[in-house]
Amino acid sequence: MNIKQIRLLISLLLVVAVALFFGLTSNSFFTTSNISQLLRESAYIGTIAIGMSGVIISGNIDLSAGGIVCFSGCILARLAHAGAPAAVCVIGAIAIGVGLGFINSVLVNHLHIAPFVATLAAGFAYTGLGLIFTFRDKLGRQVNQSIKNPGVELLGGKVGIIYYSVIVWLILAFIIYFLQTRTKFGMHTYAVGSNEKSAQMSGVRIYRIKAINYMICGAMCGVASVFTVAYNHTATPSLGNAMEFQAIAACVIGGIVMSGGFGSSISAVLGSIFFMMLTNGMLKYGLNVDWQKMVQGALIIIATSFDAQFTRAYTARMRKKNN
Amino acid sequence: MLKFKRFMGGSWGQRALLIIIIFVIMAIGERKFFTSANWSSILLAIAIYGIMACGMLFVVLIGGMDLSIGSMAALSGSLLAMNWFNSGYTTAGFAKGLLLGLIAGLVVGLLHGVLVAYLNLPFFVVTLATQYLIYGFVVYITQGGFYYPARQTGFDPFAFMGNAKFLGLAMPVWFFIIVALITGFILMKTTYGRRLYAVGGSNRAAELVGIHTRRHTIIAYIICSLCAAFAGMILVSLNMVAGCTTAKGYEGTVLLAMMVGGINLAGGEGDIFGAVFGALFVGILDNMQILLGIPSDYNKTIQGVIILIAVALNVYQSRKAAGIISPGKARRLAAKAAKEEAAAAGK
Repeated sequence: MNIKQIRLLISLLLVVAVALFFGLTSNSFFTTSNISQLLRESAYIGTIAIGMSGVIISGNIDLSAGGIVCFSGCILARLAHAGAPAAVCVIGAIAIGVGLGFINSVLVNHLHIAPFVATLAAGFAYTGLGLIFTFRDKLGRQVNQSIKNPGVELLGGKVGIIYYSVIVWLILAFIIYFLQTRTKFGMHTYAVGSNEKSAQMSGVRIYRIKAINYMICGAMCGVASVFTVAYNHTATPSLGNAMEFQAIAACVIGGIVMSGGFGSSISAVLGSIFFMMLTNGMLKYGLNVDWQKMVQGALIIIATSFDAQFTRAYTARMRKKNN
Repeated sequence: MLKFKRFMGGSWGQRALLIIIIFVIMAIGERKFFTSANWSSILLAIAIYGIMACGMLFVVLIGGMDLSIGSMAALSGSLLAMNWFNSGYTTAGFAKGLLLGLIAGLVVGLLHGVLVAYLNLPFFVVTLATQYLIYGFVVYITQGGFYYPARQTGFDPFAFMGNAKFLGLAMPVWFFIIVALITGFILMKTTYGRRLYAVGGSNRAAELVGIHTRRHTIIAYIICSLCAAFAGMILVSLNMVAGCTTAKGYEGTVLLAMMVGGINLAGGEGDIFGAVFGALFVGILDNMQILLGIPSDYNKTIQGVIILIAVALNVYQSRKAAGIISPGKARRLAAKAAKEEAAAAGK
């Protein structure tokens, strides 16, 4: 077993442990409706997180994810409201995501702005642009317009207790996992994240790798916005608000190291389930938003410091063993 | 002429150019901009951003960033308003709130510093996490509500902090001037300040010449949190309301101020004048938007675009100065050189 498998196993055990803890101590946790809602909420964060995983593995960060969700969600709502077929709406939302991801990559690659700053500022811009497309009344105030579009409404539905968004999320996670672990592109992504300079010297087209990762992240944000708008039947300006931070938190908790080169999309999936499960379980105990925020914050710090120590200890042990 | 060119190429020239552009736009768009009443409101608005920017400068100089300053301001402001309100408006309650707010700033800064310097965690994750933590704590202590302290007859220390006037300028502006002078003095005239630039330039090199980089990092984070705490208390006193939404999202605005002020986020570059100018610019920008009747929905878009332009220009200049060329350009240059060589060989 190598370090990656061990870390993945730890994440999995944590998820199981938390599920068992809340399941055994609270009797409203293992109900079908709760599990179904829990998975739907995890899918929302998780879809963004699996896109984000590639960006973080390649050593960058995308803080504009929430902005992309807002922008593509607002456009999607407009399209759906105008009566466009569902396929057009979905493709439109994803295309916008890819386009905005491409803009991010241009900012990072060709204008050489630090990824953290570039995507934060771009996220501001995207959110603001999304606001232009929100529904307004005659006085220019934002209103909650309910969307009537049978095709889009269908996407927000569920089969049995599982929402469509969860199924799509898991399929996409495995596709991205395949891309990350079994293809040249994936290997290059890890190479860029581990050491950008040496990857470049070895002939990896680092700009292209980064750009593709940003575009995948954008596309995932587009997918997330489709299912959220389909479920809520409306797009509000607060759509996607602070989602990027939750997605990053999910990645970090799942074991993706912020400096890059470690983790995979499966870590992001486990991280987002763990994150939402904890939030959900705390609600069951009657702990409100204040406690949730505090625990989320503490969790992020614990997860990052654990990963730092874990990687160091493992490397030291391996070195000893090899000598 | 050469002197003028050099001036315009430097940071002061660019700042002057920005100000001139704004003045021209406002002279065409809205003359109300130039009234003294408007300027005093601009100064009032920038005082809060300015104090935060002065503190943030320390952290940015060592190549870090503090995303939790908005929450920090909410915490200290809430502590002050709560103690002032709950003690039945006594001076002792006010002093207790003031002290608790500053202690909170000290503790949070120490936490950031220790986590970043000793556990080597990325500053981004740490300050993001403490943003959640502090925000949750503020909701917890205020129970999700808001405090509206009533104005007292006679001497009212709480209202005095934000609303009193001295020599024609509001108190927050004076506080901003004092903080800017102190932080400027620390950065320019003390060993600590000069060493901070060394740490930001190259942490490893600074450590090798015997600078205690970890201690410097911790102190920088403490100063940042203290400034944010102080700014939060003034903000609360200015608005006479405190709660979890106080100063929400201010970190983005302060970041904008940093960018416009020409402070390099990679660390080691920038000065107090940049921070003050950045805060001034942010205040003027907000004011312009209001006067020109641009809906507040576009605030964020405008801010984002300006950050991108400012940073792209900074990066372009520093790369040009350092003579760095991108791989694509290097490839093109090599191809061109090969072509010329081939042409020369053909002759």
